[in-house]
Amino acid sequence: MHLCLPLLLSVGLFGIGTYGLLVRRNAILVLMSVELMLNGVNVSLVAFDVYWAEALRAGQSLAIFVITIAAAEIGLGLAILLLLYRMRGTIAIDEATDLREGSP
Amino acid sequence: MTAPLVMVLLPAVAAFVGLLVGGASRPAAAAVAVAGPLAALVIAVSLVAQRPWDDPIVDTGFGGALQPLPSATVVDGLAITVALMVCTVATLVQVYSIGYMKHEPRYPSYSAFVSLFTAAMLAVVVAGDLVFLVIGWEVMGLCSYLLIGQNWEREEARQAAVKAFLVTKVGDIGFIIGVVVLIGATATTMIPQAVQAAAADPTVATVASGLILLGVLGKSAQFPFHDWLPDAMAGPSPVSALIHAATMVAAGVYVVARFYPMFLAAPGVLTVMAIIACLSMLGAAAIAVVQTDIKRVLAWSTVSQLAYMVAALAVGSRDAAVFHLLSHAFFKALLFLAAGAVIHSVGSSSLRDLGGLRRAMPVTFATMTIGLLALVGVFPLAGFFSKESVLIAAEHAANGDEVVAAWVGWMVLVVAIVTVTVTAMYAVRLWLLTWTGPRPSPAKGVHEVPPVMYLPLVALAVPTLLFGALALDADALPTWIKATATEPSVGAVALTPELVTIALSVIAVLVGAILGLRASRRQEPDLGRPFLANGLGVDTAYDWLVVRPFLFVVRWTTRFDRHVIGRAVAGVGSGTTGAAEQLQHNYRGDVQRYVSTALTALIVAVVIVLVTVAT
Repeated sequence: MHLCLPLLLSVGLFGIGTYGLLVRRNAILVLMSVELMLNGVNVSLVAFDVYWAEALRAGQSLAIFVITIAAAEIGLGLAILLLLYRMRGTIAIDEATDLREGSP
Repeated sequence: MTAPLVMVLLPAVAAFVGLLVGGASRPAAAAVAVAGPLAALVIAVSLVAQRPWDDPIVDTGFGGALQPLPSATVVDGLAITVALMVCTVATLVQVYSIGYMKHEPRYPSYSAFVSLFTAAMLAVVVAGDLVFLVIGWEVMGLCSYLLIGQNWEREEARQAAVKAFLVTKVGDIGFIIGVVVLIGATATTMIPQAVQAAAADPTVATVASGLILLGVLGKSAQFPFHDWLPDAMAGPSPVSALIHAATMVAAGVYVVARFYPMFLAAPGVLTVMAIIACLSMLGAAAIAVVQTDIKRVLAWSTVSQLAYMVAALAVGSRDAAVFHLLSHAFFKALLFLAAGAVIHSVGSSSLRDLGGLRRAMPVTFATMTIGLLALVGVFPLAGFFSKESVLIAAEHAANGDEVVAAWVGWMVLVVAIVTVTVTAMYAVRLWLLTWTGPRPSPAKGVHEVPPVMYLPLVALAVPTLLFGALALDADALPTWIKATATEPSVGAVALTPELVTIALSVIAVLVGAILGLRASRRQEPDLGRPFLANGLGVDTAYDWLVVRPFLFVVRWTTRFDRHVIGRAVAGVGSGTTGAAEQLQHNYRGDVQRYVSTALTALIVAVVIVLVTVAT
């Protein structure tokens, strides 16, 4: 299989994730977009690992790390969103602007 | 430590003792004040008794732990003669001050400063070490400041004190550099050796004597440093007598006499001296004619008379200069003390408030008349002979017998004779306005000053009358002030009067007296009077040349500091704050906006890198 195909998949996933990250109002969908971006990266890591066929398998190892970190991140992120929803009754992220500068 | 050094230290010690005991007891302060200069006078007389010396008395000064202090002394005929004069005048001034300063609450400090002033002058006179000389010179500047500012409650006294200090200090800068040059070039600090070495090298002689001349002009109040002296009249009259006769102004002329071989090796400097002396001589005498204050007339007269001494030095006759220095010291001290007596009795120094005091103050009248006659140069008073000796010296120089060019001699001779006329003019005017005519209201009920004040006047009148006899023997004074028995007389001009100069000066005096008679009647201001009354406009010139440019620079520096540097500093602060205020509008708490900005920046950066790498 040509390296181009998994890389196209990777770019597609990353692009969709980026789009979602930038335009979605729903925080859960934003988190999902982040997952898409991470997994896009994972696909390219594994593809390059197979392509280079290194003895240490660094690409696959790094992909495992990313999956672990993503799991932890999603757990933390969902907990934060849960609290946000309990406090405000909404999880639209353009309304969570408490950290802005200047007059509130 | 030997006699000359003790002579210097005794008045200084008296000054400190006087300050200590003066607060408790006024008579004790007076006793100490008179004792200091008197003890110095006794030592000076005892030194004279050791004459004739083959060589100067050289002493290395302090021994032991005090060795590093420069205190070497060299006493020769010149030094001891001037020292005698200084001690005499200082003692009489101290005696006179007891009466004059009777109601002065700060008498103890005043008399202490007078003693210290005397000590400083004696240090200059007997100094054998250049550094010792500079110390005495500077202490004298300090004392003049303190004494002129004695009545510091008055604005003009404070300003006069500061002016005297600053103006002489400008000259002193040159003096100190000159001394440093002299020490550096000759590798010795002993005055006789340094002068001898410098005289052998025309370059060193010209540079060093030119620089030292600046200090001399400052101290001796010659053009263009003369403007401090008339303002110094704000000090008490005895101080004026001291400054104008024994110390300060005499120090300048004395130092030139002391360094004379070096000055003789620099004819250019002597020519400059002659020109300055001519300007000061005639200019100051002309100013004296239009003054309306008795002390200011005498002050300008001092500038004019000192110019005679400087002129005598310039045309190569140290003997004539020293002769005039001594006789001037006696008659000018007499005149100032007499003027002080008048002011003390009348309570005003303005000539408008004086007049008709002849019968009320007979002793002061008689002694002041003697002093004025000596000032004018009437036979057989001291001033006649000493002024004649200056004229003769100028005549010799005009004949081309001296180191300076003949035209310098002619210039000095002509200006000196014209000045004799003007001197007679202001002296006669002063005499008439003070002693004759109707008595104005402030002078009503005036009576003679107490004996403690008029006895010093009488004591000073004696040398004023008799001192000129010294000139009858042509060699008496030159032999007396020679440094060593073997030294050839410098500028060996006989001091005995000659017929030509006598005739010229008699005519000059008569013309001047008639003009003075007219000047005393005239009350209306005439052409040139404001210009002369301002002291030849030198104060105005200083204002335009120094004060205004200085203030201009200061004003623009302040503006530059405030508007350029200050604004730049403030601008950095307000600019940063303003930029921050503008930028903070972008931080709205919108995370997606942040991310899109970051992403855009990233893409731009990547594109730039790629383009750079590709090309």
